[in-house]
Amino acid sequence: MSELRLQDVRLAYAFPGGVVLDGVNFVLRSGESCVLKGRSGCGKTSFLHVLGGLLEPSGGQVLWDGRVIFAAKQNVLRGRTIGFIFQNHCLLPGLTALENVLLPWRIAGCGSFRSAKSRAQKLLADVWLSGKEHSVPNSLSGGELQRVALARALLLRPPFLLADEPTGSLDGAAEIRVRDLLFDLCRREGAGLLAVSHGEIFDDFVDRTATLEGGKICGEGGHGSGLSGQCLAKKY
Amino acid sequence: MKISWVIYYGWKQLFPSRGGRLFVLASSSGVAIGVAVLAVVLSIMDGFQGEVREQLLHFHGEVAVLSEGVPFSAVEEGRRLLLAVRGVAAARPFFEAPLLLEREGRYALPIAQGLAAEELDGLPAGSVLLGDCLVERLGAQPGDDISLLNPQTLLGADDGVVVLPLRATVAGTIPARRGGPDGHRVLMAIDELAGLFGSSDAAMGYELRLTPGTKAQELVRRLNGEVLLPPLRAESWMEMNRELLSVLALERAAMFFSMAFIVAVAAFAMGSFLAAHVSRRAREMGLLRALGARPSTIAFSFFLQSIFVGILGLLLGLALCALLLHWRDALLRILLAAFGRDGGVLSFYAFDRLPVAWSWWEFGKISAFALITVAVAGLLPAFRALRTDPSLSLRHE
Repeated sequence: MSELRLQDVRLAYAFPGGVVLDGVNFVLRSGESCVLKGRSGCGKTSFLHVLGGLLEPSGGQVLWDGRVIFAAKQNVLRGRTIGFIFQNHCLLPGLTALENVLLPWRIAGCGSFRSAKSRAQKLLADVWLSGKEHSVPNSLSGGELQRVALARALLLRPPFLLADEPTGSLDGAAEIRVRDLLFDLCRREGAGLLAVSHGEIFDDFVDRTATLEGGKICGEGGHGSGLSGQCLAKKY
Repeated sequence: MKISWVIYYGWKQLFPSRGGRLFVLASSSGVAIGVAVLAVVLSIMDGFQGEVREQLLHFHGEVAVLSEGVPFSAVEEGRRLLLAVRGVAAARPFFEAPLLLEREGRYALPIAQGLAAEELDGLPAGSVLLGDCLVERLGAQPGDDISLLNPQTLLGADDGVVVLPLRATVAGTIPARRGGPDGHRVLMAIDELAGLFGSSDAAMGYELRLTPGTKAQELVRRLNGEVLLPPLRAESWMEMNRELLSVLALERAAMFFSMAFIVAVAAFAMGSFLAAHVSRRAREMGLLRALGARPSTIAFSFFLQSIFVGILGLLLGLALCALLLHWRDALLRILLAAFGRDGGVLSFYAFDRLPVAWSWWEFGKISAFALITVAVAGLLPAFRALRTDPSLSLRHE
């Protein structure tokens, strides 16, 4: 089992000023899921970026199985260790859906193209987009775009998935579909999931809930009503 | 075969899977036009310079032995001495001096050049060849008689000696670039010209023809250091025409500088567009960082896009240059017609077509300049990409 750990992490911005994270300690283990909540502007995204090695903390350390993850040479390591999903899908507009999903493989440079393509096609099928491999982002709906982003995030079988408001731009059935796929695939892949969310859509699905306030994790609760272990893929 | 993601990403930016190729077309076209204009202008300038060089060489050969305007005798002995020098294939004595010409009250004071009979293609005794400017000035036609007089004799007439002018027949004209050196010249037999200046067996210098592979400057050094005594002195054609050659070189440099600006403008316009493109694509930069890409490789990808556009523009530009040079005469006629001019431009220069000269070396220099300019311009988007903060760019709006 792998773990991502924030150890006494501190983050302060020179402008507009203020401490965002004040001695935060947090652990995310592969296979478990957690939702991070807090009021708007409290630093949830910064927390996620620090945990994912995109933002260097002002103090403390970010560790993956004991190794510091932010070191400059660890860029590719981070790419293979952590999958990201953003509220805005962040797909490259000039690439097809399949090409977008394959992008992590191209950057990481591991394995053969054939095996990577096979996995990418399987993931697109898992998110119900097998007929849209060659579609460009302009021709996909919001829900479809986010599902492609989900497939991309899981291509290299990362032990951890960090999602920043993954359903924030969606509504109704699309939001629920993406949520269900997210949890179903994470459980199947054994990936640890940390999702940032304003709402309560993830509350009943995660193993625990953490609340960020005043730069600290001030509350961590156990998982909700729990649909852990249940496969939702067939529901729709 | 796996392609480096840097190349793949750059390629997909320029040629996305659907549409969006306008940037590549526009930017490479700009570079292509700049390269084509630069190459065409320099090729035509080099062609003109080549023609001028040929005329200068025709006039005095590659090396001339001069007596600083003082006639000397023992011409044949001197010629044999020069022929014995390594690198000299032929030595042609000549006499050169200002001559006063007169015909029916019209006067001209050109420089006359006297050559050996075998150099004058059978010019009859008592005949002269006139440059076309002199023909016009004197109103002379082939077959007309003109008077030739040494101007110095007018100053020396106080000893009571009257020097009669020499009567000569105009045998023909010297075809040359109008207004050029040959247009104001008189060619005649060396003994007849020397006779006007005191001795028919005199010369003022030798024109040397070199053996293949002999360098003019090296021969000049040897002649001046080991063979010739004052007032005789050897000069290469470049030394004799250094002012004209300097002006031509300056003109070429000025044209290169002017035309190069077009290439620079096109390159930096492309670089600026890419730099702005980077700003719009900040979120993509952040994504690539999130996927594990290093900032330097992302920046390098944008740099490669500039290089690719530059290479494409360069190849298109060279192809366009080749087409323009191939069809230059037809294009010149169109331009002249458009501006209401006749074809006298070419006849003015005594050319039958627009001269061009090109070499792989010159095209190589133009290509290197274009690529270096494009590469420097490509640093703009690369540096901007380096400075992109992934965390900031990935925050949802």
